[in-house]
Amino acid sequence: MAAETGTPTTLTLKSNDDELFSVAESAAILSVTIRNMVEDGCAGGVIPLDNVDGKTLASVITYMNGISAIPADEEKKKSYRDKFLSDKDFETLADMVLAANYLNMSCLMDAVSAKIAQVMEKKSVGWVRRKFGIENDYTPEEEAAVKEEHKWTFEGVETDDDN
Amino acid sequence: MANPFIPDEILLDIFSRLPAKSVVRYRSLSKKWRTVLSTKHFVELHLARNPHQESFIFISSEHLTVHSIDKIEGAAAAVSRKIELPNKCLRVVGSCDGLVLLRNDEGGIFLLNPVTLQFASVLPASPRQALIHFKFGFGYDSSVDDYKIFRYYVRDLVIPGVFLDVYSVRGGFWKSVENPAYIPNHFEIGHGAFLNGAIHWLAKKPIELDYRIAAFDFAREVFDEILLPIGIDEDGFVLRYKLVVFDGCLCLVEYKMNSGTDVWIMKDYGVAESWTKYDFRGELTPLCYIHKGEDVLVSKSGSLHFYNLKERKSRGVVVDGGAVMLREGCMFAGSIVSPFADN
Repeated sequence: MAAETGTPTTLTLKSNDDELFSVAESAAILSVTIRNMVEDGCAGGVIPLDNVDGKTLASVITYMNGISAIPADEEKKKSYRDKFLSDKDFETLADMVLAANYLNMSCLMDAVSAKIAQVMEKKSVGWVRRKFGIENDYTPEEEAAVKEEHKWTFEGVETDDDN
Repeated sequence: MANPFIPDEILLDIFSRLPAKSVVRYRSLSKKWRTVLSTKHFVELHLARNPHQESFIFISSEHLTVHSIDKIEGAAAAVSRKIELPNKCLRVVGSCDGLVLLRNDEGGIFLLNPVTLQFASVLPASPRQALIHFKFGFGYDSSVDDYKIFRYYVRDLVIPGVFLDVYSVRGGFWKSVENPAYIPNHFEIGHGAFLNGAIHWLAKKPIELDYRIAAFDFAREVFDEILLPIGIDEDGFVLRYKLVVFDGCLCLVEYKMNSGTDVWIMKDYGVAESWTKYDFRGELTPLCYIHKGEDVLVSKSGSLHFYNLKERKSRGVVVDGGAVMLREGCMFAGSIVSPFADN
């Protein structure tokens, strides 16, 4: 692999909306999907990433560069991830979790999933249905009964702010 | 959203990171999600992701009612939630994976999940049971994936001998342990402390007088002995000591004559040299670290306090606008584990 020769190798990644990005191979191979392509020798030209749009890919690359610049210190890596995700809204996080899944980046996947859980912790049932495309198949009577059964868990739920 | 909706498999993983209260609420999303969020696989995944005991359940000594504080960490003023139960419960034995073992003075034993509010009657109340019980323990046996309740009892007040029964929560039956090698201390106020797959008691061998720490291992169904710290004052041992689990470690609490408390923590389980002593001002029982380890939540004279380790001072925790008087209480982890036997 080129990384072992001492010369930093750069890869070119292409998003599904045809944006091109240059990224150091050492950072890009945080993605197992990309690493496999590099190892299989498919990374000579442009690497097409059909499931990731340019905006999300730019963000993922910022993360790749940021996290790979941190030495092996789990505490520091964790605080980088927290800071990196702190200002992201739900839609961006949802795009990132899909990208992290497609790129097979377990550390990012873990951090984004935890962040989404934190965002949705106090949300209403209606909010979660809308954001995750969950169809309500309860009859109104059934829904009222199931809510009544666990009434206290509806205490402290935020008012929806996305209407 | 530019992208399609998040696939179920990833969504399930996200749900497993939510507090138990949110998971229970999201069972109202749809019939499908109600089923998915109740499977054994999901319950276990959720438990593995949320193992921390951040909640507190207690019995108010004023009203004899059961209350829970959902998250005690950092709360300057906590709010409790009253839990209505079909049976009166006066004692909290302990908790494991979010299930709380409760009992009353009429001999009834109950399991409660304070989040899902599922309540299972393990043993109905009876006057005879009330007389013969004296010691309980509750924990998880990973070798058979089951929760177990331990009770020491005497057959009646005339026939000598102390007996030990183990109840399988999933199986719904009692099994007796023949000739238990150790008898727990009658006087000690605490219950069995569950840690590392074993229930720990301050106990003695039937013919001996000296008390020690006996650990009943679930998987092997035998007793092991845990060495006491070197240099503890064994005089009046059984009256002044209590075993608890604190910060994931076995912990021996010694109430000193001068109204201080020595808290011995076994940092490496089973390693006698690892017992470490911390002295606290006042007579208290440590419950958990809070405020990033600066304070310890303690129960003291029947109420909750934050004990500051640096200043060695405690201040009362405000619950529902005042100081709550506790009859008994324990920490628990919010989980969606069911207290019912498998059908």
